Amino acid sequence: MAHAAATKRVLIYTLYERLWHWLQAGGILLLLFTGAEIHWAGRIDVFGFDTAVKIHDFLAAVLILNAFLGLFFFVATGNIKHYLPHSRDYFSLALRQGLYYIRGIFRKEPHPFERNTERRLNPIQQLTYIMILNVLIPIQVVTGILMWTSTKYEPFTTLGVIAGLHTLVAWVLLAVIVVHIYMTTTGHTPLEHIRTMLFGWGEVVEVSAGASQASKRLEQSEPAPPLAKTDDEDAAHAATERSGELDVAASDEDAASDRPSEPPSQADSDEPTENESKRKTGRKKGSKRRGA
Amino acid sequence: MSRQLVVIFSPLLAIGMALIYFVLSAEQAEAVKDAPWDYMPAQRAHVPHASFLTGPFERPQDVTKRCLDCHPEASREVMKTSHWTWIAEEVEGLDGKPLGIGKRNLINNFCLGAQPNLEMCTSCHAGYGYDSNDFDFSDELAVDCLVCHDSTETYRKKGGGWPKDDVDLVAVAKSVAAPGRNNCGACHFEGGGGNAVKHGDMDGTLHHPMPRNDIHMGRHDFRCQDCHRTERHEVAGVLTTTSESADAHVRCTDCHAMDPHHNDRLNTHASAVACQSCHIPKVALDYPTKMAWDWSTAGQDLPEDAHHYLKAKGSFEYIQELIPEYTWHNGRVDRLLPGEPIDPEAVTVINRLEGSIADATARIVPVKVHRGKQPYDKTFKYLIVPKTVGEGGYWTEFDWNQAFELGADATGQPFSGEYGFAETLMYWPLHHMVAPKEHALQCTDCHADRGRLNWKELGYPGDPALYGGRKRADLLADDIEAKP
Amino acid sequence: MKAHTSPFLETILGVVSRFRAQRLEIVQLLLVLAALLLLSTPAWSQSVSFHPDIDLLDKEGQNVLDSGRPVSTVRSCGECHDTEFIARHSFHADLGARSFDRVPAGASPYDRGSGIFGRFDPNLYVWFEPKDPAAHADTTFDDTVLRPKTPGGVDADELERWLDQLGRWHVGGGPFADRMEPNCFLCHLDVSDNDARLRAMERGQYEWAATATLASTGAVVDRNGQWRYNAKAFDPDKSINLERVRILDPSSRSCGQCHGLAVDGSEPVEWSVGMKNPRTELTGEIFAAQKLYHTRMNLAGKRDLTRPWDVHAERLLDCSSCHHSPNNPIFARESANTKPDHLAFDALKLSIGEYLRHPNHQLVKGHSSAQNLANGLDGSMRRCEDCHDAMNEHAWLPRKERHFRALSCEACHLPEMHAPARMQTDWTVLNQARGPVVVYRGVDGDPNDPLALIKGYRPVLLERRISDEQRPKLFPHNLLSTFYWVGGEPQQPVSVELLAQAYFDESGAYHEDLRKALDSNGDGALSAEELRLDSDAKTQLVSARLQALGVKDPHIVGEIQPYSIHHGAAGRGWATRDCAACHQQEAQVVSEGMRVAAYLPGGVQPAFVTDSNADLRGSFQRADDGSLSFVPERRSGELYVFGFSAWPWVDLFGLLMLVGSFLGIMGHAGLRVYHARMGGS
Repeated sequence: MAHAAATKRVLIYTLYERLWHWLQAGGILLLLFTGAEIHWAGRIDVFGFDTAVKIHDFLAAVLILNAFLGLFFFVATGNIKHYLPHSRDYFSLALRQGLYYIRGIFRKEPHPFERNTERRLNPIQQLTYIMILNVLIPIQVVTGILMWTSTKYEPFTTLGVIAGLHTLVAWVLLAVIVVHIYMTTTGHTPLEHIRTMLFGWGEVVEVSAGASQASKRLEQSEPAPPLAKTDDEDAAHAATERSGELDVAASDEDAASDRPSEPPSQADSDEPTENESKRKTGRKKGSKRRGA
Repeated sequence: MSRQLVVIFSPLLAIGMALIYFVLSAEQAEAVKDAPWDYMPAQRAHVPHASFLTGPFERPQDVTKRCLDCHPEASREVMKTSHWTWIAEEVEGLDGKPLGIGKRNLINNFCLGAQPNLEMCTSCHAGYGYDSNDFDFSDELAVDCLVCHDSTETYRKKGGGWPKDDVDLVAVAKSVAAPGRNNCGACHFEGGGGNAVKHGDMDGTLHHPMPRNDIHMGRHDFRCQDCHRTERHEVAGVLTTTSESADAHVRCTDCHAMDPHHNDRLNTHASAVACQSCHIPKVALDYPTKMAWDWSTAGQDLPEDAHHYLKAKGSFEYIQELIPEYTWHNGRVDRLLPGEPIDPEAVTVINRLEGSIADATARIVPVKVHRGKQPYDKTFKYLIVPKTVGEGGYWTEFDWNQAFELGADATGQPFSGEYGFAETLMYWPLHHMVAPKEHALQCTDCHADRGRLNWKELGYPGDPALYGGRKRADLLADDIEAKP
Repeated sequence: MKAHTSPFLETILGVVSRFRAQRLEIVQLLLVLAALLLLSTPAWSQSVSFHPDIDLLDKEGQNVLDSGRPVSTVRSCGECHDTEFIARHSFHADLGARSFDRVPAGASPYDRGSGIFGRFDPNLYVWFEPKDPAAHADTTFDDTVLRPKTPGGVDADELERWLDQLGRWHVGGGPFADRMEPNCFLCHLDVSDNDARLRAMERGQYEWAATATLASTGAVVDRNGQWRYNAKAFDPDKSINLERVRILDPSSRSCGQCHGLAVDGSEPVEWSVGMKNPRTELTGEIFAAQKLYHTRMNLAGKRDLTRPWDVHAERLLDCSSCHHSPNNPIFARESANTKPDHLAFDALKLSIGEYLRHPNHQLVKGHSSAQNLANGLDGSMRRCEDCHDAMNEHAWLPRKERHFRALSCEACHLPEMHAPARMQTDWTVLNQARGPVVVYRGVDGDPNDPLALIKGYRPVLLERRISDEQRPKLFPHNLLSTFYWVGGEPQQPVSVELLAQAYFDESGAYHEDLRKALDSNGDGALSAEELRLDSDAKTQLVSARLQALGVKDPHIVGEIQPYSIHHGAAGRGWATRDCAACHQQEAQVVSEGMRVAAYLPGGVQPAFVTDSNADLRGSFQRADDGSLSFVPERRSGELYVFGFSAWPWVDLFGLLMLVGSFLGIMGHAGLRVYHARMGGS
């Protein structure tokens, strides 16, 4: 341990975002359950078929409404940026994150993309959520509405096809949720992400107020400058980070820097162990990662 | 921290509750039209009286006295009721003056009249010692509490209203409780002097009825006062054979809605058909009831059989599983008064049910029609009541003249010495033995080719299912406003 | 009391004494008395016959009282009604004769037409074959030979033989106009005497059939096989006494005489199985107002069956309420196709008088899944939804439109039949009465045994498209399998004559070798259970005998005919109302198959007929006891029932994906823990 990295507790998720998340979470789980009861009526018999249908319809309406409210919120606050990949080199970054999940995580390598208030999601998360929110959920909404309105209007295809698609996507969503829940344990401590989603506060590597403000200003006023082409992968990565987001891994040394387009800092090319010590965010003294 | 959790999850909770409300309220989409249980009178909790009534009681009046110790108003309340006075109501008499009429002085076509025969008839009087016209109707101690409040089912009365000799007054007194069907049934199921004889819709089966005997008593174990609601010993209800007014009738609609069916067609029937017409398809289910009584054949030495002929009483007709007759009725009755002249050649209707197809307040009701042939005074042209029971009575002497003279002494209606027998008819509207709804009459029972109702006789041009009801067929009298 | 009855008694006694004077036989006297009683029991008759007095005329126009010849309905009724028009517009008179040899698409190879004439009916086992098979292409009615189910003279007149076979279902007129005039009385008389009519037909007195129908009125009596008029039943002016002969619209009873149990009045409903009541025999349908618990039949749980046999009958409708004349100005409606768009109601209608002169007897009908007669009239009647506003009812039912698009009213309102119905007719064997072995469903044991418990059955729901505008709907059906021998060149069903020769010797007993082969319990007699070709050896034996009789290549054929069920509807409270009846994995109402055969004669798998409009996709399942069931395909496809239907591969794929996710997670987490430990150590 070279030196204790400064971490800081910041509000990552606002109250509304947390409410929104848990409403969606509860709703989707109940939707999955009532959907299962409708699908296997009789074998699952908790609410009874007709009540399950009513709950399912009602929740679907609530969630669609919530989804639009959420969209409005994210667009209005600009927080939608978290979901949008910025880099042209997105896939190599995603690859890097993927490699981390299948290799680095076991070797206690640092997260390639540490989250903070300015950038919560790593490239793979971004892709996942884009797929969920723009493909899977809309499919469910459309097929659901088609089934719902089939009461009055004959759908363009058979109910069987629509219902089959709805069921299939429900299975996919279930699998995604299982993986999603598992992935929450890949934070610095297994419960860290969940705790953050509950209480909003999370610890991120300390970023100086100036840097923070600078980056905010940047976002508000200036587009990201074009990336400098470089052979150095690490450097390119860091540049990417900087270009779109806050300097996550900002070290004490360059904390004072208020030039976002500044070349990659030393810290970014540090060897992993060094990095880790700087980025540790676990608050528990006995956390494995810290102990390691 | 926990406060934050509350903040986060309380909207979820709220949505969950909204969901439950939404689901539950949707469950009640089908409105309940008929909610009879909402109108059921509450039953008071029973207070065991055994410790208050320890006896010994020498005379039945001693029991009454003990009752009055705690219920000082009880006798005075009973004494206002027709159970005591045997006067149902006051009407305009033949002389234009008010006349109290009731069981005490009216003539029927069963045992003809009570006045000369009080010593036997008053075994059903709610008092002690009413065996002559000299009875003191103001004696509070003469009120018989036990006949209605005994719950041992051992209390039986004899002539004059006295308890039978073998009644254990102390045991009976200890048992007092709110009346059950047995108390009312002891007199009312035995009307006419025997089980099922008089009413047809009430008989001994109602002590322990099956649902088929009566849905209210058989399936739901109703007591009489659940419908005949009783306040201060005043029992609701009117017997249309002894009174003329329509005021105090017990009605199905006291509990049931006017449109209780799920079928609009059935509900529209309610403007012309009484509930009883369909829901009492048959009476006298298990015991035959008397349909005709011909006094003119009495006194002959013919083979005797309680259901066909008795020397003392003449000949009878009985029917079991009686299919009622149907007639219009608006609740009011035109009652033959004592001394009212009759046409002996025609059939005299003793209690003509008022109402017709033109009367919007009238409904088609099911009735048992009891036909009689009974004595009248050839000179004065009115029905006369003989003394039948006891000393000098017809049942012992078989001497009509003597019986009529003794009867005239009791009734105050003079007997000329010449008598004959005239045909009479009484209507006994049917209200009990309500069948389970699955057994109620169906369309085809009346509207098919050979249905129960004779439309022409009722005043319709033809089957109202085809011709339309009395409103559509323009049969209602203009001056009568149809009541909803 | 006496005064009330005496006029009636006097009437009776008067009639009695008059009949005595005529020295009528006592039986006839009793019959007439019974008829009189029947007529006088109603204290008040409420349907009024508005019919004027009529003179019964014979063919020459003479009053039958004078001539003693049979009544000519064409002449008598033709005085006022256009009987020629009526006979021409009546498929009851025609029964397919006019469309003979116009075989509808998909018909069986033995069909020569679409009506009872020409159509091969395996239940009755009657069909036409051309006299000269080579000339099959352009045969006419006269060139054909009727193959009756019982042996008869080869030279007998074919039409006569048709009448022998199927005459009980023919009202007269049409192809038989010369022999048997349209029998107006059979349907329009409230006490028509079908037994007397059949008696006359059995004796070959076809020209008397209509007259005999009047027997129960006392106007005609059957004396020593001859029909004599009873002048006392006529008015002095020789017209018919309408007090006695009430001429009315056809009642349910009228239709029931030929079609099945349709009962008027309040007598308990009773019946015996057999083709005498075809609809009841084939489907168990009974149209009656009486309540089920009033029957004296041994009906399972009848004490609680407080519903009427048919809710419409109970609510005063009769057959003609729905199956009315298409030009009856009261009932008729114009089809949406021909109605002018700008009119909601066309007041231009046939006048009552004109209608009475020209009543069209092509009674409107629905879409039967089993018969092809008068297909042009399909859908001409009002169906349930044309009278009932189902959307206004069913407050409890969510998504009503959807349900009503997928379900016929019958699907829920005919949840159960309470009478036995045929399941299997086996013509591969002959019973002692030279009829088929019939297996019924819905009854424990022999349906003719009064002690056999009638349990009824649940119809199978099959999709059927009854209108081009609508999607197919589920309708309740009975499935009836029929097995019979086919052979010869070209292939024809083997006639009962030949079959009888194959089975019976001259004395009428079973051939000894057959009896031995079939008598599985060895008691020397063949019971209905033993009379079945359930092994190759038995089949071969009969086949060899048929070959010896000259039948080329005899083999057994099995067909299954779906019969749709529409009558005997249950009202509110008795219909299917439970969501879980359909919306659950084990929803029997949707998935339940139906037994179609108790055994397979000759091991032959029956096939569905090819001209049914029902959706017959599904699979056959053979049970251990040898019975065959049909299970409709319902789990996936167009009819998707939530809670019941599913695409199996979707669920399999989803499950695999979920399991895969878990396995991946477990592997990943395991590696993390492993590495953490390794790192720690």
